[in-house]
This record gives sequence, structure tokens and C-alpha cells, in this order.
Amino acid sequence: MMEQETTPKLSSVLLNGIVFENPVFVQLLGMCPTLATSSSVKNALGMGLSATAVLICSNIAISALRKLIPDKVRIAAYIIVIAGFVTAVDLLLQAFFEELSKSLGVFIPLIVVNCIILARAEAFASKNGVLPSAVDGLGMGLGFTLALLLLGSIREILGSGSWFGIQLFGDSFKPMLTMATTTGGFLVLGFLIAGVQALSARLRKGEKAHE
Amino acid sequence: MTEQITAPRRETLHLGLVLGGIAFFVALMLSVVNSVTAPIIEQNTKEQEVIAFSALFPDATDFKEASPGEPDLTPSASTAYQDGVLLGVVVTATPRGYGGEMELLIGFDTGLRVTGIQFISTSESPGIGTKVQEESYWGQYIGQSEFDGVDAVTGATVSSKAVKSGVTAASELAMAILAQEVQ
Amino acid sequence: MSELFLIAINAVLIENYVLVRTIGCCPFLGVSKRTETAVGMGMAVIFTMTLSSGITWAVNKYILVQFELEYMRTVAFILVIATLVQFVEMALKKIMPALYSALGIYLPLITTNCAVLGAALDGVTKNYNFIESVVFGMTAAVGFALAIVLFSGVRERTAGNDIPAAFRGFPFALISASLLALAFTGFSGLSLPL
Repeated sequence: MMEQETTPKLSSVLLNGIVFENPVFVQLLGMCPTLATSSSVKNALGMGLSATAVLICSNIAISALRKLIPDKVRIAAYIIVIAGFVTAVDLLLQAFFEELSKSLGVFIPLIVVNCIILARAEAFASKNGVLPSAVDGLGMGLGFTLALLLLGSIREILGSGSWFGIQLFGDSFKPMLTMATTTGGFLVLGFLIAGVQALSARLRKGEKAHE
Repeated sequence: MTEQITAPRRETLHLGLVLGGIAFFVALMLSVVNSVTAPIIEQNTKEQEVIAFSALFPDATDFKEASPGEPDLTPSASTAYQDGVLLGVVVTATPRGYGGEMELLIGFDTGLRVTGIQFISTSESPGIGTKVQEESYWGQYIGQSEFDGVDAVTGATVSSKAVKSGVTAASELAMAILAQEVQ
Repeated sequence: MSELFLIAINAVLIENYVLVRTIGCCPFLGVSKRTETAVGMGMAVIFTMTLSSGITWAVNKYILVQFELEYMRTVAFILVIATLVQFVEMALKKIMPALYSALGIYLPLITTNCAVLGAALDGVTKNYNFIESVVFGMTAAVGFALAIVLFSGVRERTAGNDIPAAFRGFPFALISASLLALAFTGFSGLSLPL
């Protein structure tokens, strides 16, 4: 059964990953690192960019190998490839971005089990060419990073009155400490997704009304 | 009959080979990355140690490793000397904070008073627990050998308690080392 | 012996993987709609994590450290876990086929459960010995199971409630989870001599 591979438009692939099929807000994937690393903008950015790097590399590699990987062992193969790139990113971070590496801790190796990367490998990279897969990786990665940044900004501003470490308010601002903890993380993410669901429901209603 | 037996075996072999091949290339790539990054990582750790140690004992000319007990079990410690005169002890403490284990280097002078605290690694809540790393907070410990009067950071009780327990445990170790050195 | 008890309390309550460290959220949010499935998933995870923590500890000590291959740790561990989950799948299919079909797709997903890999890696960074590592893996899984079962109870009870449309599904789950997490922060005040 030969699948006809149609090359999708690169710009729509990119937009898809950032907006329409945003991995966190729409596909609801990759919750673990989202909740854990979004307590500060710095961590959120670090995690987002690291995951994006892994995603792009693994999508390229898996797309390049897609005709060689037998169907039965494809998940195992994807995992090996992803684990390889995660370790590479981990080592590079330890060498060149020590502080970030220590701050993110165990969540860097946990990028291996970030559902997003495996999902994209299965859903896109195994069925498309190298360039579109790379762009998909970039798009999804950016979508993930933006989601993290949004969550991280809210949590950091409300939780410690700063953004990226820069104090925003004076001493009179008493931050909502819960925001920086796990409790706050679940809460803010819940509200954000509710917001997204409300928005997309309204858009769909708008579309139906125009028909 | 033989064909029916060897066909699935051949397939398993093929699967195994593909996976093995991929694993091999991944391992190859990683050993290259590792050979590049490993020396840098080691360098980073050594540099950090040097900076931290000299921050705790700026006048020290050399540091010797002290091993008061079994090397694997007790945290590491070093004695600081200036031209042969004992200045004090640097002890590594690893208390558990809010976000995980913290690594601290604490300097004690010969009177078992804290000379300083260096935070090697923490994973406390940014902006809240990380406040314990500010000198305005841990400066309370300097010159003290008793720590009951030290205040915690508002809203960061767990992180503050962790620092206190780390310093307390370290001071006990320092006492043991200093006693050894004096002999 | 008391060391092990402390490790257990720590893993189940104080540093609960899901509700305190937010590791293992995907299945937590995905499988917890019904208590039966949650219990089944919890047990499967306990079984897997106990074994995986022990095996990865051994792999680390006797292979990775011996041959100075520490940088291969993530790759090696995830391979051990993936293989282990395959075996668990096959075993469940034969021994408890009802549970096997109830868990469905969530069983292979244990491989990507952050908690399994997380516990394996933690056992190494915390310098546990073999027994400590196995106990840690088992009790971290118990913590996960506890969280997921508690949560499924909440979700079952609120299943019939009138929730505004935008909040239905994930958002409601997340907000409920935040309350559960808040409850667990009470445990962080437990200062144990570890």
C-alpha cells in the first residue's frame, strides 16, 4: 500500500503547530513539563527551546529514516532516536548553560517522554518529507514554547512580582505565592485551557452562523 | 516446513538489526557529543569550586581534603590553610529543600563560626524559595555558631529550614574535623 | 529499616510525584475518569516502577558506571522501561485479560509516563543502594496511584455536575487537581531527618 505523500505548504505547517493544533492548548499534550517548568519565565523559555531543539532534530531524523523503519518496531526506534537527541541537548546544556541545566534538573532528560515529540514523530514525521517535518517540529516547538511562556509569565508575575527575574512592582506588591507552586500551575493552566475552549467554541459558532 | 520457521525468524532478525543499527548510530553521535562536552563540564565544576572556596576563605593559600569518616557516606569537606596555618573548614551540605536537594558549601572558622555560605545548586521556587540565596538572608548565619535565632524567609519556610538543617549538620561535621586537625 | 520508611513517606506524601512534583500528569489527567481504571492503572504502574527502578539501578551500576558510559543513561533507561512495559503487557494479556482490555491504549503509554523514568533517574541522583532504589520506585508509584485514585473519586462524583461549557473536560480536571495539590502541600511541612 503506497501512500501518496503530498507535500504540505510549509507556512501552514508552521502556523498549525503554533496556533491551530497547539500541542498544549489544543492537543492537550506535554502536560508534565508544562506544569513543572512554567513557574518562572526563564525556566519556561529554557525548557521550551530545549524541547524545540529535540523536536526539530528528531523529526528530521525520523523523517529521513521513515522508509527504513519497519512498522512493528517503530515506537521503539522513535524512542531511541529521541532519547539520543535529548541526551545530546542535556550534555550541551550542562556544558554551556550550567545554571539553566541545574534549574531544570530532571525535566531535561524527561523530554524523552514528552508526549509531544513522540506524537509528532508518529503523526507527521513518519509520513512526510524531511523539510516539512523540520518545519512541523519548529512549529510545534514554538507552540509549546509560547504556551510555556504564557503560563510562565502569568505565574511569575502573579507569584513573585517579576518577569524573567526583573522585579516589576515595588515592595508594596504582595505576590500570590501559590501561583509559583504546583497548585497555581494546575489552576492557571485550567483557566487558560478553558479560555481556549471558549474561544474556539465561539469561533466555530461564528463559522456556523456564516453558513 | 523449514521456510515457515525461518521466515518469522528472519523478520525478527531484520527488526533486531534495524533497531541495533539505530541504537549504534545514536550511541556514536552521543559519544562524540560527550567527548566534546565532558571536559567542559568538568572544567565548569572545578571553576565553580575554586570560586566558591575562595569566596569562603579569601586569604587561604591552599585547601586539603579532609576525610573524617568513610569517604562514600559523609559529605565532602576540605580544610583551608594560609601558609600552613589552619583557617577553617569548608563543608558540603545537601539538605532537602522545597524543590529537591540543595547543595551548599559552608565555611567555618576555627571557632566554628560561619564565614559564609555558597549555593552550588538549588531548585527552589523562583522568587520565593530562591530568596534564601540572597546575602541579605543567609548573612544572618555569618559569625554565628548557634543557629536558633536565625529567621526564615516569609513564605519560604521549607527552603529556610533546609538551609538551617544543612548548616547545622555541617557545623557538626566541621567540629569533628577541627577536633581531628588540632590533634 | 527506618531509612526505608522515611523514603516511603517522602515519596508518597511529601514529594508526591503527581501533586507536588508534577511528574506523571499525562496519565493522571487521562485515565482518571473512572475509579476502576484508575486503580488498575495504579497497580500496573506500581508493578512496572518497582521492577524498573531495580533493573535500571543494576544497569547503571554494573554497565554504565563500569564502562564510563554515564552519558548513555537516558537512552539505556528508557530502553529498559520500554522493554519492561512490553513484558507487562504480554503478562497482563495472559493473566488478567479483563484489566488488559480495560486499560487499552494506556498500558503501552506507561512507557511515556514521566514517573517511571523520573523515579529511575532519581534513584541514581539520590545515590540510593539497590533496596532503597526499589523501595523508592515502589512508593513513588504508590504516591502516583494514590493521587490518581483520589482524583478519579473526585471526577466520578462531579461527573453529573453542571459545569460551564468552556470548563468541561480538561480545565475542570486541572482545577480540581489544583485543589488536590493544595491539600498535599500540607505535607511539605513534615520535616523528616533524611
